[in-house]
Amino acid sequence: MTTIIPPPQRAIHPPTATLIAVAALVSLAGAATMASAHSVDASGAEIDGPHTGGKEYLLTVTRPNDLQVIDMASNELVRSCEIPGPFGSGIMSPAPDGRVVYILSNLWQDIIGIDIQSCEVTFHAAQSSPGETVKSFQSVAVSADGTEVYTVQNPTQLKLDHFEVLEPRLAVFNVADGLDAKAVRTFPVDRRITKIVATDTGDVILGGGDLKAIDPNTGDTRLVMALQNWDRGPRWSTPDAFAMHTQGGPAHEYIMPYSTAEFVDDNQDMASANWWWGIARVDLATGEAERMEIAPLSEVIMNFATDPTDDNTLYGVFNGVHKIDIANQTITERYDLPHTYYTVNVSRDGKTVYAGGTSSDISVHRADTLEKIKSIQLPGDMSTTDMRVAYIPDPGP
Amino acid sequence: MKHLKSLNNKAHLLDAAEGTDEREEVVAMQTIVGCTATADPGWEIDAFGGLASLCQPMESDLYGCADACWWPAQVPDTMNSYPEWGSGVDKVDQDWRRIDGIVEDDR
Repeated sequence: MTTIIPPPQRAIHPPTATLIAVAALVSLAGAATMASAHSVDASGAEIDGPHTGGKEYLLTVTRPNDLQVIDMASNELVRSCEIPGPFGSGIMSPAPDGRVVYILSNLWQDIIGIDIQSCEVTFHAAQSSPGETVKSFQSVAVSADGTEVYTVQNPTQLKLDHFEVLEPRLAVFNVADGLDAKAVRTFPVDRRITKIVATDTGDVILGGGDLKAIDPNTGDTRLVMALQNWDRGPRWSTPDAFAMHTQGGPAHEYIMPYSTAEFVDDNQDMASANWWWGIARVDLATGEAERMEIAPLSEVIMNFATDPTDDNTLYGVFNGVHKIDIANQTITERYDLPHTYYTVNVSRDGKTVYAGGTSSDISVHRADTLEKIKSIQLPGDMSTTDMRVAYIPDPGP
Repeated sequence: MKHLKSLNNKAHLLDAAEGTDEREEVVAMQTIVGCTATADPGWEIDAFGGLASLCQPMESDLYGCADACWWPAQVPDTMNSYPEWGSGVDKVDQDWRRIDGIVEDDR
């Protein structure tokens, strides 16, 4: 039985920019519980009430290949867990209960599940086999009920005198299969899919040229949001999407950022065009998707995360931390960083913003002013890895 | 080329592939023989033709480019060909001097 907790009542500020709302994905069979009497965050976990004794952790991977667990109450590193195999890529997806995180490792070939409290390896899917090398490019996701792990496999057969590139496929693993997990189902998917996520409605969002959804039980796919094939007419360029980090966060969302040019006339002159940052954003609780320009493209911003308490506020990082008002399409705050950071995330209460990736420190900032609070030093560089938030409602002693 | 004669099966396959109706779909070979996950420029100058939006300093982007096979980075590919390239250098902004270049003759 799947328990689906309705999303919280958040402040909704419809943007004035181009907004397209897509109908919610069809829900799979399951029982829906009534909304809690307590306040909940975007994922349905309680912010106050009897479960506020929960623990919130920031997770990332550092070279040589270790999972770093940071207590977000103190912003202190509390635990380092060795990950089997060499580094690559450190993309991860926490389980819904926050206790286990699934990480891409062994040169982008294996998915490893690690208990973040004990460092025990609880799951291992080694995807390559003799004669066939399989790589997953940033695609790791966990089902809403925590029982299945998903990835998009890119297989290549190594034949005697040539290599044969095979069709990519969504692979479904059972978490219960543990340390020698094999795919229980595979379905053909498009090429060029990187970041994926599972929705509460039972589908898997596929981040490729366009955003699509696949039913992991039947393999049926459908278009969620066009990007590469978005026809806006001659006044707009084809969006260029950046599909490197899955991230997500307490806002319970999937964001595919893009850049695009708005031409002043039909001549499509790049030099005179207005350039925009935009996002395609999926609410994982409902499966509803939206797509809009959010701020002028005045500098590079690599990744975005929504404030879990206000979906009109977006944070982004690269050479600075940025705070964006979506409705007004403006960058309202900016903080210069000492070096480049790739990844961004936000605490569940929306009060703290984190910048990570690239090097060996995480920069911690107040969300209201972006003032720097702290630098969390790690034992190695984060490189391509994610920076995710795991919440355990009942962590125990 | 017209004076060359195909002698083995592979050469005959190449002859057949010259015709457009024989040509197979070109697909990315990023998984085995070295890689490029992207042909997106952005290491020498940024998208605006300047330097301000490049990764800064370059060392902060070194592993992020090597590990993801970012072609323009001109660093060894750690995904396939040189997975040991950064071994022992966990903080490249501090210890980049300890990383060796790759000399093919050494392999």
